[in-house]
Amino acid sequence: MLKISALRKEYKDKTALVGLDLDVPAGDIFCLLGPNGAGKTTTVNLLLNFIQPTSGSATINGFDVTRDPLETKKHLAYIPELVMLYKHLNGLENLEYFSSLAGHRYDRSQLGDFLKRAGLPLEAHARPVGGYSKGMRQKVGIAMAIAKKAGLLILDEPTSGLDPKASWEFSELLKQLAGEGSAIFMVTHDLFRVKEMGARVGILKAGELVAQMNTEEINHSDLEQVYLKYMH
Amino acid sequence: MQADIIAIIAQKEFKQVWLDGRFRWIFGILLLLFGLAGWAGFSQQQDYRSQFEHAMHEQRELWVNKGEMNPHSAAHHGMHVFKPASLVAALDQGLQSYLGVSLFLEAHKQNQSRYRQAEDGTVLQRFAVMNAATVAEVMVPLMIILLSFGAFASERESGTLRQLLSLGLPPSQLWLGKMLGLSASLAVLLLPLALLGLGTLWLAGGAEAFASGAPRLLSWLGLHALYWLLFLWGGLLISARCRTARLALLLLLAFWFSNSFIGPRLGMMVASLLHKAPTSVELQAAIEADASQVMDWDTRTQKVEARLLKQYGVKKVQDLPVNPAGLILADAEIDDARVYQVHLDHLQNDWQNQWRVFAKLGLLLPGMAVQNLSMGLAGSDWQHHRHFAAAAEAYRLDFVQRMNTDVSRKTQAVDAYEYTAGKELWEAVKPFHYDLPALAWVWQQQLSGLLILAGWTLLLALLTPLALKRMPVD
Amino acid sequence: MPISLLFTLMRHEWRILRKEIILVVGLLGFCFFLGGLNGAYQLQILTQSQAELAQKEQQRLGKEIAKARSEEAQFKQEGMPLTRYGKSARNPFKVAQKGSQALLPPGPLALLVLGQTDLQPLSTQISLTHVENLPRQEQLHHPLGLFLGQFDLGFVLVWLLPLFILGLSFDILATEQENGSLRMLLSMPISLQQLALGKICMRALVLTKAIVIGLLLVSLGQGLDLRQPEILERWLGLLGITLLYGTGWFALALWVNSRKRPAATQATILALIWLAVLFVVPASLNLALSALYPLPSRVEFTQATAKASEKVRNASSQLLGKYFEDHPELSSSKRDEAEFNLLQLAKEDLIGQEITPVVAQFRAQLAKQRQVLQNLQFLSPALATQAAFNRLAGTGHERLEAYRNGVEAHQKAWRDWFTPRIRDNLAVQVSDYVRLPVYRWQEPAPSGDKLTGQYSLGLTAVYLALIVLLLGSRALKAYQNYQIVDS
Repeated sequence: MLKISALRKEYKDKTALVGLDLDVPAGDIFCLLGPNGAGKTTTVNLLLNFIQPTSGSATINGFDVTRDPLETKKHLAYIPELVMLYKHLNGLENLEYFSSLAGHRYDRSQLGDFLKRAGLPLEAHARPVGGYSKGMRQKVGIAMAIAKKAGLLILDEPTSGLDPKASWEFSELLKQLAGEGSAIFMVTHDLFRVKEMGARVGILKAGELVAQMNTEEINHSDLEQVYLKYMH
Repeated sequence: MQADIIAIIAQKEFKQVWLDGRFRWIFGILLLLFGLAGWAGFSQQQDYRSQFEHAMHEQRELWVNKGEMNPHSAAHHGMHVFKPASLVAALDQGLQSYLGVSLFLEAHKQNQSRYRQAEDGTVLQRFAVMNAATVAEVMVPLMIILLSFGAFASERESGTLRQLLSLGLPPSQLWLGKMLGLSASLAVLLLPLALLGLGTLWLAGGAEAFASGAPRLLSWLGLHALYWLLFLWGGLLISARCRTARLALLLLLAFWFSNSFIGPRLGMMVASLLHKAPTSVELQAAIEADASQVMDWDTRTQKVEARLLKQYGVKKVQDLPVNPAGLILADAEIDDARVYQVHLDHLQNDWQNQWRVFAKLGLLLPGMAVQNLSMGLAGSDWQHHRHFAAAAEAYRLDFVQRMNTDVSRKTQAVDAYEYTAGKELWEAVKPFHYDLPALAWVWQQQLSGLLILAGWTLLLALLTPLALKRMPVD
Repeated sequence: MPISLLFTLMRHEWRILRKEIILVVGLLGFCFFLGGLNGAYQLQILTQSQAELAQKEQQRLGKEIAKARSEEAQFKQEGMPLTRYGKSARNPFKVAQKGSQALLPPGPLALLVLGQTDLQPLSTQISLTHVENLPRQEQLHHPLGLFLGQFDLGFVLVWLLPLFILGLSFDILATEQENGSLRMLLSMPISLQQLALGKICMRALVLTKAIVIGLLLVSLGQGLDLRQPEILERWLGLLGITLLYGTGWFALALWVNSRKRPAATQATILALIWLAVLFVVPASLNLALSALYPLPSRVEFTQATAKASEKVRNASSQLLGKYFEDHPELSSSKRDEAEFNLLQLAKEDLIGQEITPVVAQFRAQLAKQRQVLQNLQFLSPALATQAAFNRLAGTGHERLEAYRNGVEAHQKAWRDWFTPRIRDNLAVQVSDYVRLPVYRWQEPAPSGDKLTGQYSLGLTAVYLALIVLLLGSRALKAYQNYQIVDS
């Protein structure tokens, strides 16, 4: 679903990404870990075509993110750390707007179904989003991904600042989505969550992918060791 | 209060303004505009002054050298008088081009001034006028808004406000420091203006014009300095109370637009709806109606002759030592003048009432009060015109009556209408001389404006502790 | 850009901005109401005044004819020829000097754009006196009101509409960019240009609707007859120029938004541009024009007139002799009766001759200043728009010019009619009254004509459209370089 090859981003004074190669097939969960300034957010921005690569390429569902940004965006869903929604509108209305931007028309009951699947309690559907907690907003973000039938979810630090229960629910949801065939690309600090989801992990340092492993194959303390090794 | 801390804040604010290239530009542009507008206004006034001198001189020549003529015909022949211009009007030409430059003085009639420059004007004239007053009342306040809207709000957004207050600095000191620092920046704008104005007045007008103009000029400068301070003060309070710089700016801009552009037009519209003044046709009809009620000539002749007979103790008109014809004319002139005066007073009182409504709206938008005061100090407002017109009317009545009574000095052997007088009589009429009223008169006229500005000062003073006490920190 | 997408964007924008937009439209509507009210009020005063003037003139004329009729009846009885006249009526010079009324009707759309209306005369009484010295019935307005200008729909559209437009669109992206919701939006398959355009289009659509409805309500509510093709044409022209002008401000907002600055900075920039376009440029132009092409002084003009009449008075005895020399056809027998009339006619002629060069100089300079302004009005779109408004409404300085020309032409006809009768000392007969030249107002075409050297309104429209295109295309291009994330 997501293929990144030799992706490189240089700024005037530094190289943010040295040459990233990655492949996240459908149904796979891939987590990118790394210290601040390692190039994680740059990668996300490149995938969303918010910035343009110096060289290399990335494709989503076969479409190049730079050359065909609008086409790629039909297949991806983006969930940032804080899902920004229109606070005067309720969950249903927000979902309706974003999915109609993606070209989907749903009626109210369908939209309600998506929110329910994303785990948003029914009583919150018609409440203005201004009163939602961070976790609830994430769920609306997930519902958007479902509504959009996105093959790829790009998540940027989605669980930071969530309480453990919300965090756990969120992981479960992602696993479920992956089980249904979505590819998941997640940038995170949250080792514990990564292990719990049994995801593949890549560690990014100074713009370079220095290690890749499968969390199902190693135990938690090993993972921590690896992470600490690259964190400074 | 710690004076040194306030001084430090003030210095920082002052420096910050000058380090900002954008403000250096804005200050430069404003000074340039002040200079250009002041210069243009000055040369315009100078032109007008020389034309005025010339015209008054020529009118006098025409009057004196008209040759032999019947005195009453001479009164009909009349003369033009022109309104003198004050040099201070270079700063604010006010209503000058809407008031007409000359008055024609003649027997039986009180004419309105003619030849308003504005009649020849184009779409431009009411679009915008550039003079020192509009720069000071429209553009400088906008700059003050730009200086002040972020004073607290930006520091709040960037988090430095929290830090400053955590140092134990009371908000009032922070406010005072900012107020002082930014006022100092404004003083940089005002000082060259003051020096330039006083210098020009001295050089161009000489000692006499300086003595009469300087108090007006200094008051004008003081007025605008006060206005700027009030604007700054209000701007800082809004900035202190608004959570975001964006909101503070929007509120201040909305106020500025209303104050400078919307309020004045709307104000005058409301005023003219509240106090309907007669239309020109109504005025004319009213004057004509009253004029037709004036005593007819035969009755008047009988009345005046009876009075004269009694006065001189003679039985027959032929025995009177004076020629009654002139006195009958003089008697009629008083009635004619009264008819005009009554109706023009009526109109002018309606206008004064309209103006009062407008002036009161300065309570909401102080810019309107400042506009009035500025024109008043420059001598270019309607009140000054009215003052001039009253002086001209007094002069008219005087010279017309002098012409009329001259006829009566002759014996009755002379036909009052065949009799002609010469240069001696024309020269006996002193030339029209008009002085601008004293500054105290202006203050008296514009008392409401002064009170309004005092009220705004008081209001801001009362609001300051409230606004600062409940100032949001972030 | 697919229409459905645009529609989605606009619908959403409406949903989240409903309150602000309703507030702005409400304010705009209120301004329309006030402007319409004032326009109707001023117009009503004007028409009523002119109706009274016309009625008064009719009465005066009626009395004059009645007097003439009775004199003629008397003459017939006495067997005197009707070409002679008595003391009370039918004296050709007196009839000529009583004059003929020339009313200047308000412009066809004065209701909407008062323009210079309040400075223009209600009527002129045409006689043999020089045009510049003819008695005019002026309007009376408080000079402060004249100075400040009228609060009419023209003011609302030229001055306030841009404020409302900028108030609605100074921050179409900045805040969304700052708080991150722009990133969410752009993870959807839409481009930034589409987004910005959708947001602007919604605002433009709502305001367009408001303007059309507002203009219609004011026009129909105050009895403007849009069924007359001539009025409708002007009205549509006014609407068209308004929409172009408004679109220009939207294009400007779109462009400033593409620079990606904090919302407060964008608001500042737009406020400064507004000030420049509406105030600084016109005011500087005013300053420059009055310095470079000063209007000739009315003081000097007054002087010239006064001197001319003095000169003529002093010369009147010689004058008459000269006149008789010039007109040998006048037999000496007629002299006694004609003398006074001829002297007066000669005086008017001579005063006219004396002041004609001064007037010509005055008018030449005026024309020069206006020609320069014609070219320079395009320095400020607001100025060009107001000038176009004034012409469409028929309330600009062009109207006064046309009126003056009309008055001059009418006076010439009046003179031509009376001069031979005064010369031959023939009475004005009752049957002549229907043959007297009558003043007719000719409405100048709003589009201007080649004779006056005025640009067509089309040029203003093209100019405004160019501004829209230029700013719009620059803006759309700039969105390609818009940095969605800060690097």
